[in-house]
Amino acid sequence: MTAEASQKIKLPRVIFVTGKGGTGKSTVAAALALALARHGPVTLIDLDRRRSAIKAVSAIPDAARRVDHPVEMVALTAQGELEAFIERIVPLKMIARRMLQSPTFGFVTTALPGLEAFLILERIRIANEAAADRVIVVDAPATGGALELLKVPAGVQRLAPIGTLHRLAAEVEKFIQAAARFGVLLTTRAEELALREAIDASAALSALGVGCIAAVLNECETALFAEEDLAKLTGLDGHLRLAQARRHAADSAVQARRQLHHAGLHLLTLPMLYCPALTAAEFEVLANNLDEGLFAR
Amino acid sequence: MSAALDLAGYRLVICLGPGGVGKTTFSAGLALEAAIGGRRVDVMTIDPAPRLIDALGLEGDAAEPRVVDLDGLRAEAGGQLRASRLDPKRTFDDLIARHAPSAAARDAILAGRIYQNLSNALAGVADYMAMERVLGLYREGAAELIVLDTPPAHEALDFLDAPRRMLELMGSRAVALLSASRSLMRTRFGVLDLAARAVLAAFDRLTGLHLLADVQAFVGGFDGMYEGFAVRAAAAEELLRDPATLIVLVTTAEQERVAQAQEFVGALSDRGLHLGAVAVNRLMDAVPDATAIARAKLPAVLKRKLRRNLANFTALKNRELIALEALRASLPPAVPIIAAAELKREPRSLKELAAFAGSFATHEGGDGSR
Repeated sequence: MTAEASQKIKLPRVIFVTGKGGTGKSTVAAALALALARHGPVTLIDLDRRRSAIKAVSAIPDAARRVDHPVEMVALTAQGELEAFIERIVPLKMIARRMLQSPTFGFVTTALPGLEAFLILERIRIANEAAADRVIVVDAPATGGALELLKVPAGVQRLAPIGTLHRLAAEVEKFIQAAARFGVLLTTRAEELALREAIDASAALSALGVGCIAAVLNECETALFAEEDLAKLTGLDGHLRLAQARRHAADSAVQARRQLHHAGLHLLTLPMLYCPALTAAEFEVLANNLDEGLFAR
Repeated sequence: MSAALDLAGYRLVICLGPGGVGKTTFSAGLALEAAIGGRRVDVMTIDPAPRLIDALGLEGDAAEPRVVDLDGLRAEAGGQLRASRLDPKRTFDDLIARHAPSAAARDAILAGRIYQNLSNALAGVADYMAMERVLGLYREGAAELIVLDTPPAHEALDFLDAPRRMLELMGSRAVALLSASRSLMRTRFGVLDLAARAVLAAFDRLTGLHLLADVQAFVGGFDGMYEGFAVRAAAAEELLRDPATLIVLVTTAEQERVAQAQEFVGALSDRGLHLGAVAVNRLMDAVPDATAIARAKLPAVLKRKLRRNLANFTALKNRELIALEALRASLPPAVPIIAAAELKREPRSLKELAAFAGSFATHEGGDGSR
């Protein structure tokens, strides 16, 4: 990456974006991929079944992207990774296929739910090794699922005390614990439960030895009205209520910033976008904000 | 009491929906309101937020229902609320303990590596256990109405398919194959099965998992328990279809959540399950009229701010309306939409929770009365 020296927040090569449902995780992952693509090659890996981040980036016309590098987009599924893994470790294709089709094998993988999750991390590790100059943005599952995913390498090592799988799991664990290679970005909103979840998640990450890059405080509102403005609005009930709501939202954003800062998190903020739908123009605004938050000019 | 959702005649309300939409708070509000209305209600929550734990008195181990103190809420005579928290692991353990043929079989299963993984992580286990607990409460008969919050779903189908998936897992050919003795193998299974078993053994050595022996022990332990499980799972399935069961889909009006909610609608209809109502949480208030700004005697600067604020909120309200229209279009016409107001903060007390439940209203947005 060309702008290595001017990063305001140290970015690892793999940025794992997670957050509570409703905090704009996929939107942030998409905007981040667009922002980073202004500085170097980017791969967006989507782990969400609905492919929201990929859809968002794909919906933006090339002309509106203002990026020097096209964003490479990859959708990963657990089943696909499992199949690729079996084909890699079982030398004969015919045997590999038969194993995958056998109902017995289906049972074992059901009984070992971590196996598929682990293979997804392994795939991300390989992607990072294969192209170390690329930044990989991952649209990960929501916080709970994402933390489960990151616990899996340790779990697999316990399950498989020796052998191929044990060795791979140890490597994956080393990878997610290497601060220069892997880190988590937590999306949140100025709302009680979303903030708590982000702060709890950052504690859980440090217990796992995984780096937390920053919290992204999404949908921050500005006050617009001063306290004395509100006093003049008596009689304008509906508008007074809206003005109060606006001030309340802005206050919440200020408090949220303080709370996240107090929890020791780096902070990136994104504005509330007052629009009926997120289009290319809105993604540009979000990408600009992230760009400014991450890189010094 | 709001007439938005008439629960008279229902014995069980199941709140389904995507994660992060306030399902737990909504369930608790619904249960509290019914209790204030004079019914004996049990609410079972999954992973409630700390404030709700405080409000409902669910501190510590609350796997068994606890009576919630309704003093000061002017509940009608006979009204009672009991709340509990689901502990999926413990419910599963209890289930094993109840159905295991012997203490030795029970201990062997509970300590096994396969069981430990199944009970913690298999998608649908928490869902199945929620259903299992409800069945227990239902049969116990202490409550007139049970309100069930469901675990955050990875997939819309997790909860609905949980009982059947458990049964399939336990009754599958794969299980029979793994547990069969060598002599039985020769008579009951074909060449392909034998090959699959051989391949699995090779995989086992290759990966260092050494699972085969564990799986066999696990399956052996379950021998004789299948019947008991099957009966329970069938009863759970029946409960989903009981006319006295109301399925409520909870969502917010965010585009992404609505897309997920639509998946739930499809999943319910695929299974022939009846969707009773859709609750849309965190709906914004209606925006006021712009003419009031023009008429008011205010400095021009302030008027500009008011117009800008109005335009901003109108844009957000429109975003919401677009999502709601999409939701309405995917629902069968008879399904009512219930609107719940956006809260400034999470309810901190039963009073605030009751006020939240009081805000539930039938939604009549746009031409939504089709």
